[in-house]
Amino acid sequence: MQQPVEDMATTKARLKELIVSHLSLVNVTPDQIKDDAPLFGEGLGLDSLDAVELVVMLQRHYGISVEDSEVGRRIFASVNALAEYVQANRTK
Amino acid sequence: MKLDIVSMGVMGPFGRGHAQLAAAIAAPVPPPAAWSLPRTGMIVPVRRVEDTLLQDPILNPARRAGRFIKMAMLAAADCLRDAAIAEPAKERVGLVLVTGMGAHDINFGFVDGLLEFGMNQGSPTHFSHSVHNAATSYIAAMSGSRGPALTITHFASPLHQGLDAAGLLLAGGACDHVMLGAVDELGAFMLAIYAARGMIAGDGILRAKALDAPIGIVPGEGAAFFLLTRPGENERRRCRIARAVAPVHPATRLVLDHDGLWSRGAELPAAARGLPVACHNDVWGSFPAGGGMALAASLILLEQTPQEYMLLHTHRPGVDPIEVIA
Amino acid sequence: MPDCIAITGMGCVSAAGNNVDGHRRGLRLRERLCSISTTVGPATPYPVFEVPDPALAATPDEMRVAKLALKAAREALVDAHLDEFPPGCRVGVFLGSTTSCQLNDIEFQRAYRSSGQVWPAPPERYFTGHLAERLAWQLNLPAGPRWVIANACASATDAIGMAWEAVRQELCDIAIAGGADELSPVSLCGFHSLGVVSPVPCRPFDRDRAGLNLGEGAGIVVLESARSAARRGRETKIFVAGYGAAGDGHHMTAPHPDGRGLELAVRRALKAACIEPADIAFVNAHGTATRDNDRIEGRVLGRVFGTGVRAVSTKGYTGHALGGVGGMETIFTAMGLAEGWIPANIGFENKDPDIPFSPPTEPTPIDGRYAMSTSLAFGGGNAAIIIEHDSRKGIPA
Repeated sequence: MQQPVEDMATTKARLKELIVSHLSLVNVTPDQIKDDAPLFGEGLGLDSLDAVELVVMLQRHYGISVEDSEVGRRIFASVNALAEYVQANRTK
Repeated sequence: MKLDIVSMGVMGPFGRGHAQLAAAIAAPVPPPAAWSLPRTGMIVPVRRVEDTLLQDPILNPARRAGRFIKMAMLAAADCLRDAAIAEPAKERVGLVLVTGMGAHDINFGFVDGLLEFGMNQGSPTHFSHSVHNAATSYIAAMSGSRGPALTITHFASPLHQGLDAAGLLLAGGACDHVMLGAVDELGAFMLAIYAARGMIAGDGILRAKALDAPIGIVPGEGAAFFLLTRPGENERRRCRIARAVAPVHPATRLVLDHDGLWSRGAELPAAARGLPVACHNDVWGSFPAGGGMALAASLILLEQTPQEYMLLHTHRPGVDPIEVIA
Repeated sequence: MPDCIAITGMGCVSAAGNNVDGHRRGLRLRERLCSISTTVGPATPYPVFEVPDPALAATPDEMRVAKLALKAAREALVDAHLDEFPPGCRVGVFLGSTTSCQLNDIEFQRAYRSSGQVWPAPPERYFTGHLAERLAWQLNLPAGPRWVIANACASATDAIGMAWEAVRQELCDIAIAGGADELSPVSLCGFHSLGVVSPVPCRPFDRDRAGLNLGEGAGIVVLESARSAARRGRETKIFVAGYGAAGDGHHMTAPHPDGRGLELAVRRALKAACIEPADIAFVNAHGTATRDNDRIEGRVLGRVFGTGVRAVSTKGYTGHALGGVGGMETIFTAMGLAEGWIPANIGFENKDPDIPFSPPTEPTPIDGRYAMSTSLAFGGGNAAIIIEHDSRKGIPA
């Protein structure tokens, strides 16, 4: 397990920024995204194209490969779930 | 091939809407904008759509799209709103979009991502939004159309091909209405390519009336959409157009579409000789799908003098003129 | 009948064969000729279906896709006995493509990024590479329409369908129609980024299918009225009977879950041909082997044609050749109808409970007058073309 290079709050804030910028979200600022809100379906209303884009975002910014769509479904459930996964698996 | 134009939607460097285009045609041409190329700092004169025009709630579903798709959606939305087609008929509206280079900016952006981050880390969003037919996909979702959708590409005279395609769909009965759009966008890398090929008019002036002298281009961008029906089927029609291999009516005015390219070997049609000439390519700049802007301009001029018979001539070899009448 | 539009010539090149004959043999023998590409990365090898002929490699002045198109077009014209055209004849070229429509040259762009230099050859090749204009110039064709349709995976099917309309409505007398695409590293990286490329040879309609394989090539047909063919002394028995196209109006990368666009396209084609679903002897399906496509297309075909439908995907032999594959599949459909057999749906082993039919696993005899080829495009476009075989229908030469 990697030692986190930053604390969880910073990681969550950075993830929210990346979500807004990578997915070109309109009418949503990073601080408007709740930590535990669902990212897909309701909540932010992201779709299948956003899901694969987030996979690339994780590769580019954290060096993490998400091979499995099952894993993807789990970790993209909310910012909380994503941040935990990132802290545990990041190589950058 | 004869078609009726029921409604129109346009956006370009002059703004959004046909009143904006009409005002731009009537006014003196402002100087072009200056685009500084990122690598060399070279300044290229361009006719550019204002970024603020590309912010509209209509575009919310297209948050991931580039300028090509957004311009197309806005012009298409305006065209449809003007036509006020009843709901059930919306499903049978066909779409034809013609372009020279499609969504090249996002396409180059996708390859940039491969070069920056690695071949296995390309952005799927960029890739999926770089295909030429992405614009018709968004327009179909926006408009509720489930008709055929064609994206046709050509570097010289895509508008004419689009008119032929629309004509085939309408005459063949596949559709009762076809929305025809002509769209091209500006982008930094393509501008650098034009500059390297020596295509740019260094002084920023599109000497559009010099028919036989080699002239440069002032790259532009824009989207023009027209709702087309079979002749006589919609009394709200704004004009009737026909391919004028042998014009039916004696033309009273030549609308010249001449953007600085492709003129070698092109000749004015016989029917155009001696006519007063209207040429407004400076307003929207040079791009393959610019024939759509010239058609929009013809419509605007015709509505100012409805008794006229306009002849729209796109100055390219082997392209028929188009008759535009009330 | 004056408005019967015949296919009087066919030409085809892909990994599965160098010409139509080669495909006939390769499909019968269930040959699967793919190689491995590590373009995406050494840890991400993907099977790809590459045309092996070294003479078709790109040159500084011509893209590979243009060479593939020319090869197939030449074969089609020879097959049609069109070494010269009747005087006054208008010849249209209607080609589908994706790779020729963008300037995708990784090294060219890399050089620009690092040095600001714009190499002159790639843009020159691109701007002189409009497939229809270039082909017409190389073949010295009489004047006529010169279209390139950029409708992603349905491009060639749409090109043939619109060429059919063009000949029917006398926009031209003879049409050269189909499509071509080359194996592009940019395309492969793009589909990889979407997570839809299979790490093993693809398995259309199979329960365990894991995505598509990219391919390349060209499939081109000659269309003309039966009357025009008779005047030239060319026998006709294969016709384009109908074409239908429809959009999902749904999403950029996901097909509509009910396949409403495909169903509309299929029904429009049937209506254009004035036939019923029961008249269709078999369907050459799009069958890319992605989870979504095959499930949705499979359900639509089962719904329209019944669970006994003979639907086969030939992408196990050719790969997904994007803008070119619709042309190849029209040719396979015509060939199957004329010769009374359909190939095995190579790659299929186990039925997917979500798909209402199982495709054939052996070359299978069929008997019938009509068959259909379907294409579903990225971006939600759908196209269906109906081929007819009727030896009584052609006008005697």
